[in-house]
Amino acid sequence: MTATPRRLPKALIYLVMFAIAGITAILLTQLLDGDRANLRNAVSEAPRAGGVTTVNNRSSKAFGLPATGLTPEEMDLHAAGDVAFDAVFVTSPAPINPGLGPEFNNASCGACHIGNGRGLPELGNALLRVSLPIGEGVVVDPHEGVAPVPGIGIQLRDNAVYSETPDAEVELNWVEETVTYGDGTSKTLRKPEFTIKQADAAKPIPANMETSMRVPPVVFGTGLLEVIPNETLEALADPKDANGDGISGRINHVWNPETKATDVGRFGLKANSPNLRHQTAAAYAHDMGISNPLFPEADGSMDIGDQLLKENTFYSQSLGVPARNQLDNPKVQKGEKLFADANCAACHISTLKTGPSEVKALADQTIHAYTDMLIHDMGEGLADGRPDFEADGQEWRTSPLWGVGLAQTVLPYSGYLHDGRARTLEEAILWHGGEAEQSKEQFVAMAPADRAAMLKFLNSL
Amino acid sequence: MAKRFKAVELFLAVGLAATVAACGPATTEGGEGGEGASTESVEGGEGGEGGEGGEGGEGGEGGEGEGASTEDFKWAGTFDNVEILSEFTENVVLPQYQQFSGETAALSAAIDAFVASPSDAALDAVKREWAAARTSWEQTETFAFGPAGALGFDGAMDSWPVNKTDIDAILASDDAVDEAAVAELGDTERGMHAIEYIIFGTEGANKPVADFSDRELAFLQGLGADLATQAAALLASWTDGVDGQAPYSEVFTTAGTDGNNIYPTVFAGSQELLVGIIDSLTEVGEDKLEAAFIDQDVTSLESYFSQQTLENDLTSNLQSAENGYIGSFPGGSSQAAVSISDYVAGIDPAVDSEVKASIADAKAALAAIPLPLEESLVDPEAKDEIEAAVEAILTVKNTIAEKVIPLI
Repeated sequence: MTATPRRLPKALIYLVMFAIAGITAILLTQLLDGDRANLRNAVSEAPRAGGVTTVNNRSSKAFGLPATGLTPEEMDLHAAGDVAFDAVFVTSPAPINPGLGPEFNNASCGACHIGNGRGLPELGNALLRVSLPIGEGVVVDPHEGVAPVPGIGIQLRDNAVYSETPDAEVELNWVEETVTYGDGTSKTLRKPEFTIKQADAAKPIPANMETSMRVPPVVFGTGLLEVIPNETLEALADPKDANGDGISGRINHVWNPETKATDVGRFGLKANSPNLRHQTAAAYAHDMGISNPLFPEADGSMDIGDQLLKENTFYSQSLGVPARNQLDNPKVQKGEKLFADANCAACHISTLKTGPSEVKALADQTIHAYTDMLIHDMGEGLADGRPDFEADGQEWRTSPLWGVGLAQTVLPYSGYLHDGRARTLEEAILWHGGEAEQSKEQFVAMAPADRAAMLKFLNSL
Repeated sequence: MAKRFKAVELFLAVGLAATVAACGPATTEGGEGGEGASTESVEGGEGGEGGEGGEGGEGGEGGEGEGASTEDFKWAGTFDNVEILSEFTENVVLPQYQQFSGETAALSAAIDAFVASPSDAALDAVKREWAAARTSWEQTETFAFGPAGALGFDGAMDSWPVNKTDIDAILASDDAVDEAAVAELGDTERGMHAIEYIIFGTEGANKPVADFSDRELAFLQGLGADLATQAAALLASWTDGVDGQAPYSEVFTTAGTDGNNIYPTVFAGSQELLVGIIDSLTEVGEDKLEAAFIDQDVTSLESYFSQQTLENDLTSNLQSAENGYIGSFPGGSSQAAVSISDYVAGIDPAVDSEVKASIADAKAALAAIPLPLEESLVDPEAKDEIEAAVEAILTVKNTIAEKVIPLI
């Protein structure tokens, strides 16, 4: 009834393992030396993408499992955070979960980060960040990293509780264009366009308002990314492209409202948030209108207290990372090599090591997130024209690719890239430009079977 | 229903996860922990990764002591029978969504009749149809993956808690409340629980016909029509596909075929089904029954307004798990030619018998709790029955987790 998989002789397995270990050790050493160029051919063989936190599940629940290795106390905190993450807020007064709005994008974390993954590229899941261009009398708010829009702030909340008015009415449309491969076949790409109408007399929409559409990124694995040492990111950064490889990753330096100092930006699609506590608190405040210790009401009151914020933050930190699959598939193996050969791995770095953490499962882990956590010029095609702290209008943080093969298992119909414009991973690659232009062109020039292999590799992550 | 408490579910998940460490599926990951070993060597044998099986077990010991010994959860990774997935889809998923769609249409029609001519009999008919739709919906829990969550149907039809403040504001306004207007409302202002709030009232589920305002009647019509439209669209997403996408039945039943990026292996499809069964059991046992019992909070029961949480929601979630396991649909009397149960019986008949017996015990234990749960939950006389039901449902879950999953 069940097929028994063919297995290699044990001696051969051990030999291969030994060889892989050796190669990985060399590559890891080079990584820690900060030599980005030497990493371009790094091939990760390990399925345990999140080190000890890795979970074995390729179902729609794959992004929602707690990390392995949590202590009983940590499991309790994670469980409480799970409740917080799914809690649907309603209009005050209410016996359960009051405080929604008055303006908001959605009513719970889980309503946008569906299954802890992405959201759909539709309003309600996706949202618009807004700001004013810097000019006469318009300066950057040093705490926000942008110049907020008067009366609105840094985000359009296109929803409101029943008796209130949203920030604006937003209509989303997709505009299509065509790209042609070296073999003559072509592909239709799409990008979003918006019509923004004033909804509230007190909130005029400036004609020159900068907008940037965002779909929610995946939640799992962020606890590991949070404890990659600053020194590692500094070593990976190459702001002036000193090594001349055409790739110049930068750290976005952002405001940390709790230390009241500048910090390394790690989270958000332009790395504009210093840590998960801030990221979580900002999402409560901006996405749901839930005031909290980092974003209190003007009179100092708040809808949720520090304990709930702590639980929810820990929930994100302590989700497991799904194990890779199909590692023995020759197409996957070929695709991984092509991914490295096309220099994709120069930014989507396969292997990093976490530093110390109070959570033992997160500390000192070798992880395969396929990111360098740095911001890069991605070209005009992807540009949002909306600078954010030190990131300019063409820069985006390298998105982690772990679990990317499960994106549409967890959320069918979801898209890729910051605004979900790419309906497939293939489209996502084709949108790459700027520092990734050469890699994209290599992909375009590939034979169809090679392109398919590279996509198969990405789907194995 | 949005979850409020999932400790034991998480607990179980840790166990599932913990097994990766020691024994990932050989078919999908190649060499039996060899990869882990290679990484470990790089790190100078610090033991962080070698010891993860034990650490997973440590997590399993936490929680509230009722979880299974999680280190035993091991996927075999050998499941290769795609026919079980397609038979499940044909004989359980599609007929269940079909029935649900029909019942929401009947509910909408019953509301229309009640509005046209309000009477006790017409209101009773509305309540009956509401309960029928509710029962069907909760039986879809095992296959809540795919369009139900992704396309927002779950939120639009079953958001919880109800946004009472907003609904009261809607009723107090002169705004349109027809189907088109309802479709624009937030999830917590529409769906089955919004209908429940209006037809049953907030106290004792016995709101008299005379208490229904014209605004409530008009809003009810909009809510009923919107619910029926949503249910029909959910069915269509499985049978025909939406927005040019493939029908989801095709996605699930072609697991393991080249080009299926959602379920690239048959094993991934089977994980979806098994995790769905386990989640249904978690939902009924821990989330809905145990958490409310521990808190002694009847308002946290899902169908508090109607006072029908036990007979509609809990009983149906358990039924959903059984339907998933044996591949049957009692309401439509269809039966899969081959099911997870058959697959397990083919390897170890004793395990299959044990699962089936545990399900029968759990159904009996749940049925032994006095109705309505909205009263018995806080009645010391019913304490033993409630605890026994929680225990019996956990037994089903643990049996599947510990004995079925290692065969899949």
